Amino acid sequence: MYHMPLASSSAMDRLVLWLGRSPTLGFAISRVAFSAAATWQIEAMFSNEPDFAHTALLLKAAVWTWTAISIAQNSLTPPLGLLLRPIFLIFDLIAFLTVIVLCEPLQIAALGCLFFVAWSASDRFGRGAVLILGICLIFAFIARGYYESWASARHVAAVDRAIDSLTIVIGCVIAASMLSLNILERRLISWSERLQGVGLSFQKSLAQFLVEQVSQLMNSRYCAFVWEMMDDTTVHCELYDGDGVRHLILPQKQIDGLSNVTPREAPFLYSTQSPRLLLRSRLGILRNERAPDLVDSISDVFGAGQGASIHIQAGELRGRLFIGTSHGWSPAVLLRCLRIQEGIDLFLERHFFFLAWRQRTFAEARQALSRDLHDSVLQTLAALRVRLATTIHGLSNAAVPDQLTELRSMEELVTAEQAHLRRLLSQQSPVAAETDVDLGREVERCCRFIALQWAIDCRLNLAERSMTVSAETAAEVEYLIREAAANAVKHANARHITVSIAQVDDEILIALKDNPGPQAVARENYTGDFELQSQSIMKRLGKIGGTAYFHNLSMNSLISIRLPSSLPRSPI
Amino acid sequence: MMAQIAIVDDHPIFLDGMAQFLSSHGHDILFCARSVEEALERMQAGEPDLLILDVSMKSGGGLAILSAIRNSGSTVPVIFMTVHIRPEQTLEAIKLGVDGVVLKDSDPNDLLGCIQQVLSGNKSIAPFVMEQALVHSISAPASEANVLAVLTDRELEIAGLIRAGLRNREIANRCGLTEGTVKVHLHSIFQKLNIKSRSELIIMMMSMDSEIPAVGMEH
Repeated sequence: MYHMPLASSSAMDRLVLWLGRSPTLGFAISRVAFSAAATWQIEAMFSNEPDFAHTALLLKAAVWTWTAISIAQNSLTPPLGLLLRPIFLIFDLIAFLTVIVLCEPLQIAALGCLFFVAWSASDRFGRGAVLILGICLIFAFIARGYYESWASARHVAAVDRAIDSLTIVIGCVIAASMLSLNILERRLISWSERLQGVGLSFQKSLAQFLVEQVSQLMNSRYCAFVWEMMDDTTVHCELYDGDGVRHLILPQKQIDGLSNVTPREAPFLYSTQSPRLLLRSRLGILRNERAPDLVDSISDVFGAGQGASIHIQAGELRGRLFIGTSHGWSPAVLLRCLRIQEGIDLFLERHFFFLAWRQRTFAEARQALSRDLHDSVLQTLAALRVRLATTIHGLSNAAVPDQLTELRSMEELVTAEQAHLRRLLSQQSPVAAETDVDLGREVERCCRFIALQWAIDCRLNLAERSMTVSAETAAEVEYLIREAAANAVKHANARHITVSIAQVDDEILIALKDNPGPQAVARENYTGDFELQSQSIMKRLGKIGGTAYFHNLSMNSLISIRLPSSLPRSPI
Repeated sequence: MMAQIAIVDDHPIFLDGMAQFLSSHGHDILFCARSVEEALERMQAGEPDLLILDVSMKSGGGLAILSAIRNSGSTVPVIFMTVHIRPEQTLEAIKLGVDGVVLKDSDPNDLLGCIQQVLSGNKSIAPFVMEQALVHSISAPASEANVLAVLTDRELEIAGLIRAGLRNREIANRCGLTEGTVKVHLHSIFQKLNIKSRSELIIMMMSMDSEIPAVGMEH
């Protein structure tokens, strides 16, 4: 069995996740570094100018206020956060471009910060935003020469060195972010590839395996899979959290809340502190949607906190993953969710394909084996019949009428068994199994065979003239009657069996009764052997949703069987 | 009409029983063979008036023997006696010039009737076997095409691309459609073919051995 390696959850791992999954942390660190550099530069420019002391103070206050607000706005929930983020990005762009134009010592630090602006803009508006930003940058560099740089005329060597060191910090943060992005990307790719390689080889249920894998990839607090099969109305929920994997039984209200999600297929981010979800429209535009009922249900079932949700649909399986993870309303997490969704879809398709292929192969192998077995028995029966025919032909002129009668009876038995096997063989094809047959005629034939086989009197008591059932159902009924009759002869010493059969609503009722006639044998000492020996009947009935009763209403009653007219679909 | 008969069957009890049965009805058993090789070897020593062959044996069974003797120019009448014969085997046997087909589970007297018919120069193929072969020849080649005939050209193209392993988005790009439209087509394909998943569609198409995958892989 294949075991997926567990992702470690060390502090470094968390940092990699945080730095790589969105520009938020990297940008915040770079902002602080840039603000410190800007503060020192302002000091250097205005320290010898008493007239500008107030301006310098205002500038420094403005820089730090802007830094604080910009960092804090990341925690705003939609729709306010969604609305304000572009404004902040535009303001950031203008501020950093202005610094590039006017303040040469801070140019490289500003460029570093612009990298995060570009990343954020790309997450928010797509790759086109990077192109616009690049054009703005070209204009900013062109504009540099038109202004007398005040800052360059007021050098303080110590400040320059401090700014340089902070610039290096920004550079390191960029490098770390890129590295983290790469690690995260590679981790996602290898996770997806490993998932594709699993196929059918996992020991847990499919839902449990899925929540475990997604939870480990996302390093989540919890991961729940709420799912249903299309031909079944039952909604299931598998939850993976600190306590391991378990199946949750949810009340109907919560099931409705979690399964009736309005953005049906799109991944979305949620937070129990906000009634809104963040998602992308089909055109890729970020939008928010009110879903208070869903958020309430999430809060009730999984507890408070942020998370992401992914739609899953493959074959007859339909459901949603709820992953408890801090996302900071980052559009990048939504993109990542889309990638995970694709990986899971691919895995499920492969899984279902393998499953269907395996089932088909097994069914074909079983059918081939069954055909071979039937062929072999048919060969032997044919040989017996030919030998019997030869013997009968040889004795036809001899005066041995009793022996001839017995041989003819045996020949008839073999012929009946051949016909039965031939019918079974022809019913093995899926088309034949679906065709309807007259149950009365089939059971009558079966009774004749039982009579021949056990040398008893076996009669059919048909409640209705015509009972049309599928060939598969008729075969089941025949099996049950044969088995019950064999047990009745062997263990209840039955000699005159009456098989009664009726169809009531969606059920077929079969009753076997022994009619001993005038020379009845007293069976008060019945030991229950018949019941004991009918376990194969019970087993067979269990598989097709039927029941059997062994009752003592009359000592002559042997067994009553009840089975559905339409048999449950075979798992293969 | 009595004849010299050779019987080839790998089931010893049946072989002995059949030899006894035919002998008891006045026929002369020239030889009994239990394999294709043995039968062909014995045939070189001398041809019988009639050959009774089992279809299901190793080394090609009765069809291989029939093919070999017809290739050697022999016109000896041949009867296939078998438990089961597939319709395509029946058709091939008819092409090779088989004279009669009898099922083993039929009345032994039917075989005697068949032998008489064949020795008189007529053909005698069990009605059940003939019926199956006819149904197969009429419906089998058409049935696979019929399944796909219900699909439109676009659906056929999409089905081919799914079989080639493409995702909805890739199919949409290749066909110049939106992903939503591909899903609508896919839903329609599932409904028309009475299937529920891509896997079933792929398996269905693979088992059909159609030329559709080429659609997806040409570009």
